[in-house]
Amino acid sequence: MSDVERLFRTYNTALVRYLTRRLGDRDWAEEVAQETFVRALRQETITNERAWLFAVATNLVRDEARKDARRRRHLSLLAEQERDNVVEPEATTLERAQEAGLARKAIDALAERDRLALLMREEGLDYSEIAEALDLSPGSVGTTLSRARRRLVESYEDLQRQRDTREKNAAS
Amino acid sequence: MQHPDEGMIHTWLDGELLAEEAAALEAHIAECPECAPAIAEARGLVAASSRIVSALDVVPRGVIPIAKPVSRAWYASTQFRAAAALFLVAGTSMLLMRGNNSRSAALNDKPLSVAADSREAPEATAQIPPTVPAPAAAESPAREPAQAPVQAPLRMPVQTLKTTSMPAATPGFVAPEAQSAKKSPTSPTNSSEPKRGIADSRSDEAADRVAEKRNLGRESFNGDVHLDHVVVTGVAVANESDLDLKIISIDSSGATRRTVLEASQGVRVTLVEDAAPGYAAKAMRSTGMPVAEAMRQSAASAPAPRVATTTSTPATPPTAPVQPPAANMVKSAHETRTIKWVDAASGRSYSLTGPLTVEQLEALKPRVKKLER
Repeated sequence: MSDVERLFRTYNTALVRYLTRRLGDRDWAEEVAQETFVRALRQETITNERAWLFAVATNLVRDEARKDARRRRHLSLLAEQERDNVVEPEATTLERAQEAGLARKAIDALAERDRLALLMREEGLDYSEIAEALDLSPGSVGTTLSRARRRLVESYEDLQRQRDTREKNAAS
Repeated sequence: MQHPDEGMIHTWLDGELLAEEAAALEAHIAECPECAPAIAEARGLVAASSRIVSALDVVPRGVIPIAKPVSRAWYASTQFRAAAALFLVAGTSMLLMRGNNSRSAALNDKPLSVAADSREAPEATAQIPPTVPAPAAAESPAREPAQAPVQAPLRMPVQTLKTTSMPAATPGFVAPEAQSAKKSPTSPTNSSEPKRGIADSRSDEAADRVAEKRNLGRESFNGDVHLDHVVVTGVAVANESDLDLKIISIDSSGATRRTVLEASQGVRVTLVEDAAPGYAAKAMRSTGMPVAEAMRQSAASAPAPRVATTTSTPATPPTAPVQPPAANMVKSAHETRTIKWVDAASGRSYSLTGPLTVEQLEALKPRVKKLER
């Protein structure tokens, strides 16, 4: 029974981080992580633990997100605009906040499967785990990641360019 | 080999190519000038995407201003209300059938694929009696403004808790539930007196409404609600109430496990589980509980199987409470109380301690039990 304790200690941080990056909300991320471990308690044995945990967490997000998608998107956009409007005294803080905002927009521009695969990879899951968690063929994980990375970087650079143009216009 | 495509390059960069494939690729790119830019670009994309993803970690708490995003709104959704109304109709009509033979036709002309849906319906109907007021409150939107603030939010969690707990339970649980429902349809298994009175009067209103509904048939429901889906949605939605019970910490030593849970805002309870009753006393003392409290608990856990220190009905299967947890989550006293029980299946004894009344602790028990299952 110390099994779930071990699972918790081993994977909670990574799971919460993955979920935070996916959801953009740490409280929500922690709730989903909790629920994931509760479900783990009910399992007799889990063959591939990390893949299983990430799969369950992902499905929980999917179920919730489906219901609230529109509302959250709207509110996250509002929050994003708010963040942009905040005048920060410190240059570094502003820069980090701006980067976070751009990153958020860029990652939201990805297709869901691509996004999830990339976030899982960033948590150290190997291709077989990602394949299992997302129900993909192992051979397609590389292609999925390559596409995700390309689109992410391209979106991010586009957004950066747009912002730089805006700022330039505003300054002049 | 031919020029590797982007997917293969990334797979190689991620270290996921098989040894022979990797060797072949490396041999190729060592000699192929065309591939060099592709490899360089891929490396750049891997590094840049990693950096961008890390930037996502800078996220203030609660940046999206929805308090408790799911747990408040779910009962208000159209599908849930329709599901609740359906359970009400199904359950009440079955009750009426039991109580009055002349109405036996009622069940047959019900458009209930739910009733045919084996497990869900009988379990749901067994749960219906004590929660009749809740669906009654939910099913007519017109009444909601008056009732929602106080009653709908409070009673909804109870009903959904009951319906979710059933599918997870063994068939053995269904029988006692059905029996207790048969005996006294509107009296809950454990509750306080005043609440019971309200339940009685409301069930009459609900019964009348059911009679009307029967005549309306399916048109009474929202056009886009399909009965097949209703049950599943009800269960899926209800599971979210599990989110309310948050694990703060888990500690194991020997045969004892101690879990601290957050039952609601700022209210924490401790669940102690041990495989052998004798350990309970040791665990209690080592965690710094008042000795008197620890001794009381160890004494209580010594005797045999059913330690029902709180409920009025002995030998009760793990039933869901009548009283909605949310309603009672007001700290009526700052005293700490404990309830204990033994799980017949596993032989483990449990105790739940917290700054709540005994009824409130009992209300938590099924949610706690779900953790342990």
